[in-house]
Amino acid sequence: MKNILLLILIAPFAFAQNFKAVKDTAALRTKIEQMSKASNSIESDFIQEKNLSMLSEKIVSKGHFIFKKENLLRWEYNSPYKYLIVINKDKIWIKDDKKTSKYDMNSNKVFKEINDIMIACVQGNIFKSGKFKVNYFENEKYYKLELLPLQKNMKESLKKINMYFDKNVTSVSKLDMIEPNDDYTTLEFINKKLNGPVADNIFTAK
Amino acid sequence: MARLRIIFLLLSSIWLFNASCSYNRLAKTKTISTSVVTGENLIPVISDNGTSTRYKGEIDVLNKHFTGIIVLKQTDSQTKHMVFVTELGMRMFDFIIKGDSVKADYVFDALNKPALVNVLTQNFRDILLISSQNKNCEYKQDETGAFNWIKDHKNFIAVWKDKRNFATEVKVFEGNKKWSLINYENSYATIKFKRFGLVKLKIELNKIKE
Repeated sequence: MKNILLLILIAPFAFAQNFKAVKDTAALRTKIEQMSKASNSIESDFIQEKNLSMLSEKIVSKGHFIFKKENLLRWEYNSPYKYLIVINKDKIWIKDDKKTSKYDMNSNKVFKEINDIMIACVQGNIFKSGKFKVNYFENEKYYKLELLPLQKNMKESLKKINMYFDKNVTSVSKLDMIEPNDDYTTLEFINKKLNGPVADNIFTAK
Repeated sequence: MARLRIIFLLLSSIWLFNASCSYNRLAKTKTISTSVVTGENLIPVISDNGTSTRYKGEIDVLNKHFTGIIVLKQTDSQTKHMVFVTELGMRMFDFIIKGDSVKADYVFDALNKPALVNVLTQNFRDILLISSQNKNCEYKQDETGAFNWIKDHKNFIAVWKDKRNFATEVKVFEGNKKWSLINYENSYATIKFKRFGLVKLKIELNKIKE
């Protein structure tokens, strides 16, 4: 009896999470591409949760990001400590409390990969990269794009990315990055501002 | 070029001579007593109560600078883990500690070079005091204070402690030549490691307040 009661209580939440395949994927792709084109700047707070399954540990980081077309990104952590990443076209700055390092994206494959994924995730057009097989799902609250890496080296560190859009497809709401050992990182974007004025001079860390 | 080579050789000789002197001075210090290192007479860096400890980690090795969050946790009575995750959430490495051995369970592809992994596993073994635990040790005392002198395979380790048995300073000697120096502050709230010799390695860990 207890189990039946429990089932009745949790059923609405379980169903709310249930995603079904999107029927008209071409229409959804068009909506996302339009959203991406219309997003000249995005500013948002974020909460990042890294789940280490083996250790049953959750690392929570919080921060703020600002994106501006084309290829300008300021990604700033405030908690658990200050840490700043700035992408300005083909340059990347990384600043912590002691050191600021500047890298040329073209001379560093790892940074190039990070840049491509970060910018494409923020803009929501990662499915256009050709590096993923994309499956489209939806429920009452979100559209979910399930991105499965196609490249062998990416498969070694990434099992899949789930990208969530609100049903009006105005911006990316949430991201899950799942690793082969089922550790995962969730990024949730809150307090979003779209197309507000953003000065170019914030995209440096000198 | 030839002059530079001579200067380098001279500097190396002076450094080797100093390191050897330091080893001889510590090895020859009078032994007061002997015992076995336990978790009680040398508090381990990874606690055995199942709670995790998190550090902001900085690693400088082979001209590369890495930063991220290091999680230390004992997961069962035999196993401890050290996981290094970048600020962006990418897992860089996962080391498993069983007994007195530290092995890499996962290393991010771009870092997965045997020389780098060996240097990191060997030296984190010393930093986390894994190499000192359960070893026979000589308690020695000279005019500068008391310390424990521990033999770990071919290495010798000198450990200075505070009154509560937290390590404050550790010197590791490979044979009687190369050595590394580890400073521990405020009951392991800050750990600074420096390895001398050909493969330079610097590690700094600062505990993250929850």
